[in-house]
Amino acid sequence: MVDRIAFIFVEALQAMRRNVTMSIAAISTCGLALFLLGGISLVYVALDSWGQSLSGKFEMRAYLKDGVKPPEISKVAGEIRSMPGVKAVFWIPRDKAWEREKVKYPKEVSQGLENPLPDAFKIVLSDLNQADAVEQSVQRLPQMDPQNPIQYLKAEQELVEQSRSFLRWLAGSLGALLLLTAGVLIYNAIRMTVFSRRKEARIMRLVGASLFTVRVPYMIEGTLHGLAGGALACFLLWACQLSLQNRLEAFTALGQLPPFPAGAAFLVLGGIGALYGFLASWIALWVPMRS
Amino acid sequence: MPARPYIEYRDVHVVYSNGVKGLDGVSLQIQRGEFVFFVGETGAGKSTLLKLLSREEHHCEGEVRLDGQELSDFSEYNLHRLRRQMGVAPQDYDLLPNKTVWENVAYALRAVGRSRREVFDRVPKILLQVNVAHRADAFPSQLSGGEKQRVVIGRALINEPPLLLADEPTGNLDAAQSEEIMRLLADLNARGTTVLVASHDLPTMEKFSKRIVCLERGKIKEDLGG
Repeated sequence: MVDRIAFIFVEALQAMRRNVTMSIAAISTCGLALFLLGGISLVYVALDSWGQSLSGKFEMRAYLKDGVKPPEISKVAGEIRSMPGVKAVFWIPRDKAWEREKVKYPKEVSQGLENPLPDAFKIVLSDLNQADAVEQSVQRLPQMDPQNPIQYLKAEQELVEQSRSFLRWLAGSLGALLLLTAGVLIYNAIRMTVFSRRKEARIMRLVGASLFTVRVPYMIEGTLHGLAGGALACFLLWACQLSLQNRLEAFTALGQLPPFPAGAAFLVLGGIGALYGFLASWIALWVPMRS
Repeated sequence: MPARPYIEYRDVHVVYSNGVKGLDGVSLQIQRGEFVFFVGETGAGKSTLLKLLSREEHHCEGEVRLDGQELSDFSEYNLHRLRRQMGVAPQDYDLLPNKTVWENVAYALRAVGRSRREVFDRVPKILLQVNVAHRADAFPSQLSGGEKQRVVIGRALINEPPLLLADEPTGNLDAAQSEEIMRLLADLNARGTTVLVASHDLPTMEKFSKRIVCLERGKIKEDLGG
């Protein structure tokens, strides 16, 4: 059995060595497609995490009715904090808010004027998608002032969320397109390999080799093409990240790129490449072998 | 009760995709251990008769039986079981140009699942049997037509088959080489192998008193016993 497996693997490797040009073409095309796919994925992940971080920058102001006592305020704050999509809740006492206004607008806020501000909560969101739901839930609380609606940057939040949705859609469709392209390229490479080695295949069949023995080396070859393409894509991404990082070092304000996830990238891209190579070669073998 | 024929064609019709008739109602019986020449002009159907047995060709109507087994019962997935019961020497040699004589035979043995040890044991014997052991390290391009044909026959013997199919084995050979190849096939036949040869090399055939089946336009014109 080991001897048989060894023969099949040696056949696949020898075929790759004999058809070096074809192998290089298949690996590089697959590598390029996976590189673009991986690149888009990394850009998406980076932009998405940036988008997530924006959520914390958006906050709501919710105003309490007059006369709500501190223990009750504390209870309401707890209720709001437990709502989905809420990251933090801060109580802003009316006196403190008034002091701030005085500092901010010393001329406009004349001395001796009575404090018109209500007690309020500053609500920091963890998920922009929940903004509307949080607003409605908070506004429904009996301690909140119905005459004083909640204030937040609704339009801006919607713009950020729409941008993230568009990015998700763009990455998804481009990724699917690139995956399809990679599959077609591997399929073509294996088709050409099958064509260039039809003599070996015919001899094998004529002398009584099973269909399995004839086909499996091609499938191993396709899988190895895909795996090598994945490894190449991983290397290219790492090189790009390194180059970009070196350029960014000059601009400290832009900060640092997150570290390149080499292990995960190899596993994902190599895995996708290998799976694609396997499937594409399986499909490629179906037609010529039947005819 | 007459013995069951080893090979039987029963009212076989073959029509190619372009509408040309390959075989037109051929019925023929061949007993185990026979040596049969299929003779005829190009397109007469002699290669088709061999290819039906190796299932490189499908018949449209009728029955083709080998040792009682209807050949259309073999699917693509178990075709190797049929092919291991026979050796096929195709018309175009089909030797791998980048492998030596030794490697060509070894490759076929490995392809049918023989271990390396078996390969090292069997290849020299096969090459000796077909008298090309002295050319074991030569590449096909360095061989004469007769030597190539011997290697092809040697490769066809890897499964020690009871049946050998040779399609135009002397097609590209001179008279002396043709006779050598026919003698090799006759030797194999003398050891019990059933040999079917498609050929139009009448002068060489006449030197061997074997059964000759003459074909014309897909029909059997004459069946001359040896």
